[in-house]
Amino acid sequence: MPLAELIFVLFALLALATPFITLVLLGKYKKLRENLDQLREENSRQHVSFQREVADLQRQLLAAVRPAAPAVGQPRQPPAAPATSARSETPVPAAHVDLPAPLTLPASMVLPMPEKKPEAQPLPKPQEPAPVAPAPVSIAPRSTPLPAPPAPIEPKPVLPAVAKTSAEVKPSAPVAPLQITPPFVPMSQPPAPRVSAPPPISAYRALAPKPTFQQHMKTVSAIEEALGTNWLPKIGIIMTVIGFALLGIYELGALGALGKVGISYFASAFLLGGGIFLEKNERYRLLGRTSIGGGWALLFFSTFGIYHVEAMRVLPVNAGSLTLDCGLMLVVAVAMALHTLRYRSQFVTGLAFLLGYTTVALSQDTVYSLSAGVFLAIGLVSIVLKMGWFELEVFGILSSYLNHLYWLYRILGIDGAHGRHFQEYRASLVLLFIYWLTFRISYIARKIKTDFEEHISTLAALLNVLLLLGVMKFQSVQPELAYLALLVVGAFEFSLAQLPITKRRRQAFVVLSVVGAALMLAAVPFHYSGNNVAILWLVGAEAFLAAGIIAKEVVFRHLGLLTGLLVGLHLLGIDFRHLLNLRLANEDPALAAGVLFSLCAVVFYINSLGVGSRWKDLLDGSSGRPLLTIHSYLGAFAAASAAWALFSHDWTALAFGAIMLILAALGRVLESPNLQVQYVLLGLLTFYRAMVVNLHLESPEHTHVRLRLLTFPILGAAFYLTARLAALRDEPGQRTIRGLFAAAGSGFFALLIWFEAPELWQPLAFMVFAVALSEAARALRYHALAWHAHLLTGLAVFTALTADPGAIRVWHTIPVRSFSALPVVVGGYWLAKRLGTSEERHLKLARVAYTWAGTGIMVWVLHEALRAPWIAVGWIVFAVVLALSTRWIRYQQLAWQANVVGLCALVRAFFYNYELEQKFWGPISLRIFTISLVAAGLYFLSQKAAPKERYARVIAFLHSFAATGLLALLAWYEAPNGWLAPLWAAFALVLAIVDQRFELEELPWQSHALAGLTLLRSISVNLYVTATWHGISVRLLSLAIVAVIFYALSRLIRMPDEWRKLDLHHVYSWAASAIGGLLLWYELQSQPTGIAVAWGAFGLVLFEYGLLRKITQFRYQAYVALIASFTRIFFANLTAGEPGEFWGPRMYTILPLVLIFFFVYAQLPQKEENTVRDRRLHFDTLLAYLGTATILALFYFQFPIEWVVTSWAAVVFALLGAARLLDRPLFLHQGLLLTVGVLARGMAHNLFGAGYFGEGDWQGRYFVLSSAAAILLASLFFAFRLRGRYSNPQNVNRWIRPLAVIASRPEQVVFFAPIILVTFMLALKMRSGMVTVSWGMEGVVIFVLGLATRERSFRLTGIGILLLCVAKVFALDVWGLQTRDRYITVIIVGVVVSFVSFLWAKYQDAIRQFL
Amino acid sequence: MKRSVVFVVFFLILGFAVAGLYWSQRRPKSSPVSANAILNMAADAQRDLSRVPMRLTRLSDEREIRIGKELVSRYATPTRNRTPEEEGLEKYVTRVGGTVALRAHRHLPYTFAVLPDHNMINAFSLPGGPVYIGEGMLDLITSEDELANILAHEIEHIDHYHCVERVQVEAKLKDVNLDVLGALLQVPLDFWEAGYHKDEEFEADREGMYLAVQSGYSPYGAVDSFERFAKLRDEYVIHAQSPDQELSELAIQSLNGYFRSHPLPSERLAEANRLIAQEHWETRKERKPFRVEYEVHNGEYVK
Repeated sequence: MPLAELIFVLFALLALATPFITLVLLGKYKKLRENLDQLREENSRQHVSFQREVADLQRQLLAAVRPAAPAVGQPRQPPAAPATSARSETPVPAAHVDLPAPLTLPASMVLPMPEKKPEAQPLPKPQEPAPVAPAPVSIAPRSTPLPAPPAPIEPKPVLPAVAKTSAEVKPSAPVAPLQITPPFVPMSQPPAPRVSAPPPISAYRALAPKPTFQQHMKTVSAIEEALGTNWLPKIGIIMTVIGFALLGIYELGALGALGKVGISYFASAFLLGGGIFLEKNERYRLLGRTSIGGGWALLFFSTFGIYHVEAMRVLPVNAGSLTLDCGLMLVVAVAMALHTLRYRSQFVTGLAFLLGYTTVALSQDTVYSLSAGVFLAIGLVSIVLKMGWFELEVFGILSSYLNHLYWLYRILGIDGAHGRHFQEYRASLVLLFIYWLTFRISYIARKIKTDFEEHISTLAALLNVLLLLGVMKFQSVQPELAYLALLVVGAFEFSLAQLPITKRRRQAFVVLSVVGAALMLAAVPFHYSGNNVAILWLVGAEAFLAAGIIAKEVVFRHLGLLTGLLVGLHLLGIDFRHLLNLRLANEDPALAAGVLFSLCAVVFYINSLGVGSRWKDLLDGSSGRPLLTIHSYLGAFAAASAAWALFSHDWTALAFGAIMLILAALGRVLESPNLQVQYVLLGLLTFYRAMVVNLHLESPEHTHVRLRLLTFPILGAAFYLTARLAALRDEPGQRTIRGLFAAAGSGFFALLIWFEAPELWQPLAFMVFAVALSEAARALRYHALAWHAHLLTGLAVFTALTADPGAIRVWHTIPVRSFSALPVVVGGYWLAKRLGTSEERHLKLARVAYTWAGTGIMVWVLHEALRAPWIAVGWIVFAVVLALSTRWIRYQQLAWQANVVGLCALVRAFFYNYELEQKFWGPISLRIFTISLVAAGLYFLSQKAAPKERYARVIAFLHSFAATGLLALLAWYEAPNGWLAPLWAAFALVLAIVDQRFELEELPWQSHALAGLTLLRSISVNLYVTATWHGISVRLLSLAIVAVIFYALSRLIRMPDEWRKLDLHHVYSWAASAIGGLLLWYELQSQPTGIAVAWGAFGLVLFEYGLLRKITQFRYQAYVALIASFTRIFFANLTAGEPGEFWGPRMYTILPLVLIFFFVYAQLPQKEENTVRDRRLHFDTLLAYLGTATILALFYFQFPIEWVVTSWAAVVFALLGAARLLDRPLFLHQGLLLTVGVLARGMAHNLFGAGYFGEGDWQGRYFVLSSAAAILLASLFFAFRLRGRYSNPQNVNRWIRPLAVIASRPEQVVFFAPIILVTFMLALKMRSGMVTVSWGMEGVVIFVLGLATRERSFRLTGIGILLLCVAKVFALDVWGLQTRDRYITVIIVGVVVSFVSFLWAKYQDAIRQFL
Repeated sequence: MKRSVVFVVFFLILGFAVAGLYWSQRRPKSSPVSANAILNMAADAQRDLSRVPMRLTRLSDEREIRIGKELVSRYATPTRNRTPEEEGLEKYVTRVGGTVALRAHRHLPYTFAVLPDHNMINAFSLPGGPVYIGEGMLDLITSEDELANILAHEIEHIDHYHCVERVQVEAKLKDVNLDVLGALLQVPLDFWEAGYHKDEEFEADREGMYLAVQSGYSPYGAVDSFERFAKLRDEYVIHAQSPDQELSELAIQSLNGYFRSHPLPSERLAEANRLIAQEHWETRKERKPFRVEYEVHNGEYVK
């Protein structure tokens, strides 16, 4: 079907439904308004009643308080008067008690009479009970002896569909005294016409609380009841009639026209007869009436068909037959109208006519066949005018025009005539006008009683003209003349409005006038519509200076001083350059320059020191003093230059030193900082000159140079003297200057030793000089010399270590340099004892340094003096001696040194002694002997070398670990590949045992470390060892030993209690189990399928041992092993075996695992206290899930892929059975989860995953999924017994409440999963023509199942599927199916729906009990 | 549970496990270790999950044919002139394929081509009808029935929408707009040469055998092929000797296997034999010889 056609049909359906919905809503609105009015009236009535009661009570109170004045109160009783009067006038309600019918007719509640309009009330049938307001029930006295009303008769049936007149209501409650208010009055209420009717509106609805679950369920029940009692019969009959109409319309080879007519008449007779029969029984009344309507419709169609439907035509085609058939149709229409009117049911009549229209619409061939519609329209209008069923006319209008439109569509297509002429145009036009006129006459002629009727009439009037214009537009042959149609129709409508009969109803007059005017007005625009002379200058300078002093003229003084500066610049720029050039040429004394510079030096110093002091007041102002200071510096420059000019070679330094000494003396006398600066500079110059010239670096090392031997002591002394004079004050800067000069003095002597003393004697010389300086410092109390001693000691150490680097000079086998170093050792320890300083901190640090230096040199001496294999032993012995010395002299540094020396011994042993393979004594190699000695020394140090108590633990750990490490490494060298791990494990065990005896804290840690190494070794080496020992695998033996030792360590190893409480000692058992698991993995590698089962068995043994001995960790290890075995099956076992092999490795290796999982799970019951932790960690749940998952995985691979879903469904059955029999909710949860899995699998794989062209056999099509669905449905047996057993949704938090709800209603999941599967299976695998039929059958089966199980959701599902069928029929099947499939589908679905409605009616009492 | 009962059950289960272990160790043939179980399940789940959207977003035959032609243009690039022998071979393949394709469900323009690569022991198909077979595969074939079954297998991949669904999935994964000409160029050619899901392979095997038999060929052609593939696989599969070898092989298989989840040849062989028994085809054992007839005149292929 083209898309446009589909849209058109949908639009038509929508257009068809819109007025219907509007009408339904209007009806509901009307009823609600009535209810509201009633309640409001009753409320006001009760209010008045209460007011009266209050007044009565007040009166009685007054009477009781003032009994003496009764006469006064008498006239004050007017309010009570009406009550008294009413009491006498109101008929005694007890009379109604005698009416037995309502008491014995609970079924009458469902009397389906929704069609009765309130107007029917004036003609009440005798059996209809008098309507009485139910309100008094709530205030009935307890003393009433009458029986309580039966439960089903509650306010719910008191529906307002049967309206009460105000006359009937008035006398009831307001005046009735409390004592006699009949409690049973509600029983006299008429039965509800339709249980599905909306509940009465409460006046307090706005204040009503949120609906409870029960209320919600009542709503659902009402829906079901409405479907079962109201909608299904109507739908079923309608479909049946349409189906038979289709059967008649289409050609059927095996059945001729006569046969079809016979069948059609037979079916209509059956429907009519059956309807009349059923209508008598109140229970089936609605079904019966619906059947009557359908029967008449089918009869009309049959009569229509005998001439107008080609496939049913039994009359010859001629005018006589046409007339006969029209006459027969008229007769049937009249009979239909008369008979249906007997039931006074708008529904029955309407259904008959509506179906009549529908069947005719399905079969119309020529325009003349539409004449049937005219008859129907006339008949309908007649009934409408007589009965006032104006809603029915709306359907008639819609049916007539849409019927015509559908006929036009079949002739003209979706675009209509579009200006094309067609043969039936005029006839069609005439028919349309007949329709319009018929319905317009009905509109004008009707008598309106209520506003609602007027509204419906207006709707009908508008629909009439609009549909007329719409259909005319669709069939328009000359669109240019359309405006004429508007004008004509408008004129007609306007004219009709002016008729006197129309003017009787103002709304009709207004509607038609407006419509007419609007159409006429619209016609016009419709028709006519886009980013040297220095000395002279010196003189001059001095002249000006003198003049200035004399004349006390500052200008002259300044000129003089400035001129002096010019002289200085000349000396610097010219004369010094000349001297430099001279000195670069030779070292001869330059007398002239010397004289010049000497003169200038003297003059400048006179100026700055003499003049400046003498005439201080004249020169201190402005810039005089700075200029004099400059003169001072110029003087120093000139003096130094003069010394350089006058002296050469080694004597220049001496001259510089002399000037330095003089300036130092002057500076100290004059306390001049400038002079201090100058002699410091000269000191630097002196030192530089001495280093460059006097040191004679060009001479060979260790050769004596006389001038150096002469000048260096002099210069050293000069510097020592300058140091003595240097400090002007006792402040840091000054002390630094002194210290520098003293250091320079010591430097000269040290350099002298360095260059003059022989190599091997230098350590001694430096050490002696250091000791001497230290003693001088102590004597002079000048402690800076102690620092010089430090440096000299450093030099002594350096020279000791670097002397004779090739160890050429030896004594026997011992290098002489080691003897040369011994004085350093002695000097070091001496200085540590007698260092020349008074600072405690300095002394302390120096002692540390000197003892460390002494020990270090001693270590070096031992290294030099001993043979290589024994150095480590020598050092460890020295360390032991130092440790013992510590305990003797109580000097902690020696203990530290012992530790360091011990560490050196360790390092030496590590890097050297492991390579010693030569035998030492018997089978003992030198490696074993020396390393064992070192290890022994380290073990000794671990206990005796702690300098302080607080370090004892660290020292003990350090040395002990080192010793153990050495021995462990020794084992590595001595033991063959496969046996090292057991050896280490045994060592760890020994250490653990020793620790248990002596309680040495560090030993357990060493055990841990060794165990860790063992584990690493086991994993990295032993697992790959392929060697054998006496035919037995070394891997198996060694790892078994390791595992056993580890299990032993888990018991023997000493740990803090807190750790044991945390089960940390079970690290060993974990490791042992891991090794065991790995060992199994490697040993069983030849057949990988066995590994999983081996791990499973291993886990089982661990679990049982853990359970027996109450060791949690063993059980945890078991869980891990079991999880590993589960994982393993996915890599080896599930795909093992040959294709088609059933009892293969997959089965016999996986099934034991399933047993193991569930066996272990079974031993973790809730009441077992030993396994509380296991359960808290949900291992029980895990194992149960592993077991089930293993089965599922096994089935997944064991069975053909399409049968997996069935096998899983069987597991669902087993799980739910297990949950029921073993009382384990876990299996219920698994079952539900798996049910969802089955659904998902079935949907995704078996349905949507199936081939596009269908399986070749019925098994593939239906049997596989059906078997799965059947097994799931069989599981309902257990599911119903598990309902609400474990989960209470109210007791869980709101996040998991949905799950709890599901678990509390397992039957819902177990039901809906197969139903969804089957429904989709039918949709996807059935032949397209039979899908709806099969769904209909399924719906019936489900409904019957719902009846049998008394489960509402099941019934609703069945009904829902049936409704789905109905929707599918009208939305798809009618348009898309092949002819035969189409009517078969419609008939079967109709019959099925009718059958279900029959079942509902038959069992409605029972069903209602479960609602 | 009573302790004694527990012990009895414990020993029974332990005995059962040990028996299983014993039997598994006694098997003469070692089962390979692989991630096939997980890969199969994952592939199965992936395929199942994609089925619903696949069905709902089905491409029209016209679009499928257009996509197939677009892909063919990439394979059609000639690297050298074909020899008369190759042309004869292709003619022969086209004749056999055309015979078999007549019985396919969908009437698509099936075409057949030979890829001149003696190392290519494979055949594959593209959406819309093109079927390719490697010359290496043809070298292995000994009967026309084998060729017919192989070509029928590939035809059924097209016929049953396997090819076009692969296009749909790949287009979705790579965000390729199938309406844009050349958009599929970003998909490597190897992609089309890879196997399909296990279910799809079985379906193509089964339906292909039906097709071949209906076209007058022996179903034993398929059996011959599967036996040959099984033998080839046994020659190339290396069994791990230690767990670490196992793990490394697993890693490699996991990378390759996911995309090449062909069922084992032994499974395919078993399925083929089962189908033969089910359809009573045991008598159809006679195979036609694999014979290419051609003549060369003046360097040109004649027949």
